[in-house]
This record gives sequence, structure tokens and C-alpha cells, in this order.
Amino acid sequence: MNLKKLTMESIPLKQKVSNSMRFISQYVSQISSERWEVVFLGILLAYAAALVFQAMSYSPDARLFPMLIGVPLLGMILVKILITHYPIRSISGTGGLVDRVSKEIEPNQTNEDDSEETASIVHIQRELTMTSWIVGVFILIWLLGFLNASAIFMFSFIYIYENSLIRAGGVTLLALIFIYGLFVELLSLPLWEGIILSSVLTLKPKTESTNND
Amino acid sequence: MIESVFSIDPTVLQQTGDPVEAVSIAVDVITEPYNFAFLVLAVVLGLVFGVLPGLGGPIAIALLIPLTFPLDSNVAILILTATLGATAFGGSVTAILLNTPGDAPNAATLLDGYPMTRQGRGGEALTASAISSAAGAFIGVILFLISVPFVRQLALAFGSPEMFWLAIAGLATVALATRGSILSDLIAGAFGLMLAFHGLNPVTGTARFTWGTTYLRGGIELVPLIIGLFAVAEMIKLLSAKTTIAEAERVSGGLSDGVRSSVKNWKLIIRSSAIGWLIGIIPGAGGTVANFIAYINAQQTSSNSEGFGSGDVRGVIASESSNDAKDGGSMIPTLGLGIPGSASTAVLLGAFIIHGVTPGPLLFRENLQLVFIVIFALLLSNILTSAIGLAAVTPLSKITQLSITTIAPIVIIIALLGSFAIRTNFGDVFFAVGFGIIGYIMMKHDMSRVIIIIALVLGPLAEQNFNRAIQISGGDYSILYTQPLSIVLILLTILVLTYPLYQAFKPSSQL
Repeated sequence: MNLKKLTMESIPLKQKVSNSMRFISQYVSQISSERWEVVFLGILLAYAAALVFQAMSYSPDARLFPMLIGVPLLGMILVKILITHYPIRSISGTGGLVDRVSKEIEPNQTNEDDSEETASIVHIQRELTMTSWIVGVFILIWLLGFLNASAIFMFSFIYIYENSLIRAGGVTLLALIFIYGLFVELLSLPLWEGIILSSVLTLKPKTESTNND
Repeated sequence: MIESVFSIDPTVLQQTGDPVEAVSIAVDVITEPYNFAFLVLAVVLGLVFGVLPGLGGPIAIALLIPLTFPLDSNVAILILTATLGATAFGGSVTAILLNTPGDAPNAATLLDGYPMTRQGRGGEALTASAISSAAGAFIGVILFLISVPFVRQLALAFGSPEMFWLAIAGLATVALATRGSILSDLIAGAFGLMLAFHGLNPVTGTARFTWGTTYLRGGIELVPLIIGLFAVAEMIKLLSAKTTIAEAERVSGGLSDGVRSSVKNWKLIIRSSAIGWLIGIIPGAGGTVANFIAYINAQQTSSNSEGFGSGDVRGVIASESSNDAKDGGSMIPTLGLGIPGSASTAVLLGAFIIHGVTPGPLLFRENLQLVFIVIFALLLSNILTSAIGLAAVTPLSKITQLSITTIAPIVIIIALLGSFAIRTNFGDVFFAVGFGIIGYIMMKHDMSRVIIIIALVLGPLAEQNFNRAIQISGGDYSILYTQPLSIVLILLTILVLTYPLYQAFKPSSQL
């Protein structure tokens, strides 16, 4: 993938975003799923360790349960990381108990040919794209508030993926009516207005006394 | 004006302690046309709120309380109880169709309900849910009626040691119910417990794992977690696969299959309802534990149980019948002692007090008609809800075939709104999104998300009751294992934990 192509002005924004996602997906797909699982478990291990360390500073009553659960949790995560990284063979005669533990890694040990690899990259690209949409709508809500962000998100998402202006507009309008009717009118819920609008509303107007100061 | 239109004639007796008169008043209230219309509207509202993730019983009832101010107390309680009865089934609709439990008690339903939807059998799952819900509610109410003379003894049987062991048994049961890697599920369960320990501990008074933030002083809110782990994560998964909710080409097996399945498993309905009712009696523990114990019981006592967790209708029947039967059980501590069994019954209790009625032993002596109004309201609301559910099976099933790129944005927005609606705190939206991504990663690595929810509910219950029990005994730990009921629960926990080992090591009958 030639990164220079991403900067060419002639490529539409949608294509640029898609190319970026594809580049990241190719990189992600080169790392095995077991490695990614170890990364996830590593993050879990770090947070659990932080909790156990924090718990040691509490009174005996307060730290009893966190320590009772936290220490075995650390052990279990370490075992899981080891099993994932160093797969063990099934031991016969245990009635399937060890089999059940070792079977976790078997589905991932598959040989992929080119077509499967391409499908995998496409799937990863979709995962990253959809996750980005979710994060994006969260940021949009934070900035612009629920109603504005909902309208923008629903309309743009449906329009981009369904390619239908009528459907995008119709679904967005109906959804907004439902949301407004239920949450604002019926529940009298003070919806989040967004930090931009809140900042504008809280701006103090300049007065003559302020100017004289 | 509303009072004069809807109040019963003041010359007619409105409250009594006599059972015959109480039934007569209750029947008069319910058969009044305007009151019945209100009941139907309350059922529809309860159903809608039960379906929407993040809303549910407490919000629906709280919303209706101000509207019931001008009404007679009998009518007000009728409306509010009907709403409570309707929300349980509503939560199962999203559990089955969207893999998102409406509330923690619906978590067991999705174990088999959602796989059925993916197989194009969402209609059958919804029908079985509707019928078993109504049957469970009926059985729960009958058992409540029978137990009215023993209300006080039943509700007081569970003290802090018993509650502690019940929570432990519940956690052990859930670990057994989930399929997949034992180690991964144990990690998920333990992590869920660690999440439950965030925030202010009401017994010790210590603020734990707040990391200096005021948001975490209140602990991790359950509903945003449910919304994130299930609704948001599921939408990411479906959008990534660019598939509809139902993978089958035809969404078949609706009403007739669901009815047939329910009738065929009538013994399971009775058994699960009895379990739900029994555990519903216990304040605070009821719904979540009841459903999983009923589910496990169904799994272990059924022939050909390999299908559980992959779309076996018996899983839906067991969890839903116990979920609705528990309402009958939860009325024992709620009405008999004034101790709410759940968030919904807590709000209902508030409504009682607002209308000048104090739940407790006096209620049965002076306002027995209210007890019968609650009974009839629960019965009727569940029948009506199930009827509406049955009528809506076909259109609801069709939703599972709509383009995911149309449904998903709506679900995501409503889910995030629902997470915000709980405390109008934007931090809850952040957590919903964050746990949505975590939930998706967990799905990819075959880790149970259900067990995190259950751990978040049962963890504090176990810890607080443990601390209370030790405080009551003055530091003597023997209080935890010397009470008869505690011993029964300990044995149940051991049985639950050792059963898989027995299954793993027993000699195979096939060579």
C-alpha cells in the first residue's frame, strides 16, 4: 500500500478514509489472534494488578473481598496468557476437563490461504470502521448534544451505507420524533446539550462596566 | 374533576380486612371500564419501557406516579402494579431479538433466545417467552395467595448469612450456565466482582477504586454496563459482519411452534415457576439468581441438554417462567414487611406510601383489598402483555430481517440515550461506549459477558451480607455455617461446583 496515495487531493474523502482503514487492517491482520488475545489479557492483568495494589492500602474489612477475588484473578489471567501463548496438548483420561481448557486455542490454529487472508483483512477493516463510528458518535454527542448528534449520525450512516437519501431522511426524522416525544416530552429528561452549545450559552455578554474596568 | 369521574362512590366500602369483601372491592375496581382502560394503557407503557434498553420497570412506574396522584389509591396501585407486570416480558423481547437483556433478570433468556433468533426462530422464542411468562405469573400469584397466611415467617427466614450464601450459590450457578472456556468465564466473573467493588462500600464506609473521581464514588452503574456489553457490542458485531440479526433466509417457526414447545414443556414451566417464586421471596436477590438457577435446573434435568446455549427453547421457557413467577414471590417481602424485593418494587413501595398506605402486617389487616388488587393486576397485566406479545410476534420477527445498517444506528442512539437517562450523567454514556468495545473484544475471545453482569449484581450482595453477618455475631464466623438454611445453601453451592467435575470424570457409557 503506497501511503503517498492517501495525500493525493484527487481521491475523495471516503476513499481516503477507506484506504487508511485498509492499511491499518493489513497491519492488524499480520498479528495472530492469539497475540491480540494476549494483549487484551495483558491489559486486564495490568488493571487487576492496580486494583490489588490499591486494595492493600485499605482497612482489613475493606480489602478482604477485593484481595480474596483479586489475587486468584491475577493467577487465572497469568495461566490463561500462558495457555494462549504456549498451547498444551489434550491429555486423555481426564474426561474432557483439560480438553475443554486446551480447546480454546484449537480453532485459531488454521492455515489461511490468500482468499481467506483477504476476507480476514476486509472483516478487520469493517470492525475498525464500525468501532470508529461508535467512538465518533460518542464524540459527536459530547460536542453537539444528543439531538443534533443523533440526527447527523443516523442520517450520514444510513445514507453512506444504504445510498438512499429518502431512507436516510425518513428514518432519521421518525427516530428523532420518537426520541423527542419519549425522552423530552414524556420523561422530561434534560438531554445532554453538548459542550459547544453549553459553552455558548454560558458566555457572559460584555457590559459597559466590564469595558470600563 | 378526574377524582369525581374515577373514584368509587364514597358510600361504598373501599378498604377492608375481610377476605370476601376485599375480593369484592378488588373485582369492582378492575371491572370499572375506565379503570380497565387505564390498566391496558399501563400495560402498553410497561411493555414499551421494558423493551427499551436502559429504561424498564423503575422508570415506567416512577413516570406514572405523578399521574396517579388524583386517583383513588386502589386505582393507582392497580395501574402501577400492571406496569410492573408488563416490563418483565418487555425485557425478554430485546434479550431474544437483540441479545440485550432489558434488565439483569432477563440475562438468562438471551443464552438461548438470541441463538434462536439467529437461526430464524425468533418467533418461536418470543411465543414461548410470552406463554411461559403468563404461566409463570399465574403460578407465582397462586403460590402468593396460598402463602398469604405465612407471609411474615417466609420473608424473615433469610437473614444476612443466608443472603451471603445465596449470592455465592448464584455466582456458582452462573459460572455453570455459561458455555465455553471455564477459565475465561472464571476470569470474566472475577473481573465482574472486582468491578462491583468500585465505589463507596455502605457497610465499611470506604470509597474503593475511585481513582480520585467523583463519578466512581457511586460505583459502576449496572445499566450502562449492560447496554455497552450487549447492545453496543452486538451492533459492532452485526455491522462488521454486515448481516441481518437473523441469519436464516426465512424467519419461520412462529406462533404454532412456540405454543407447541410451551405445552410440551408444561412440567418445566411449573418447576421453573416454583424456583422463581421461592427465590423471589428474598429481598434484593430474587430475579437475577432465580432465572439462572431455573435455567441450570432445566439444563441438568432435561434429556438431550447439549442444545442449551445454542438455541434450545427450553432455556427460554425456564428463564421466563421463573422471571415472572418471581414477581408473585417478591410481593411477600414488599407487601408483608415493607421490604422491597427489587428496584421496581422499591418504587412501587414509594407509591404505596404516597397514597397513604403503609405496607407491612397492617396492610393485610386494614387494606386487604389492595393485596387482591395487586394479585389481579399482576395476573391481568401478564395475560395482556403475553397477548400483545403473541400478536406482535410476526412483525417483531420481521425486524430481525431488516437491513442492519438501518436498525443499528437507531439501536445505538436509543441505547446511549437509555444509559444517559439513568442518572443524566454523561459519564454513563462514556462507560456504555467503552464497555461496548470491551464487550466486542470479549465476544471475539469467547469470554462470557453475562457473568460480568451477574457478578456486578451479586458481588455487593455477598460482601455486604457477609460484613453484616459478622457484625451481628460480633466477629464470630460460625454464624455463616451453623444456621440450617445456610447449611442447605452451602451444600447447594458445593453441588453446583462439583457437578461439572462429576460429569467430566464419570465413566462414559459408550465405548
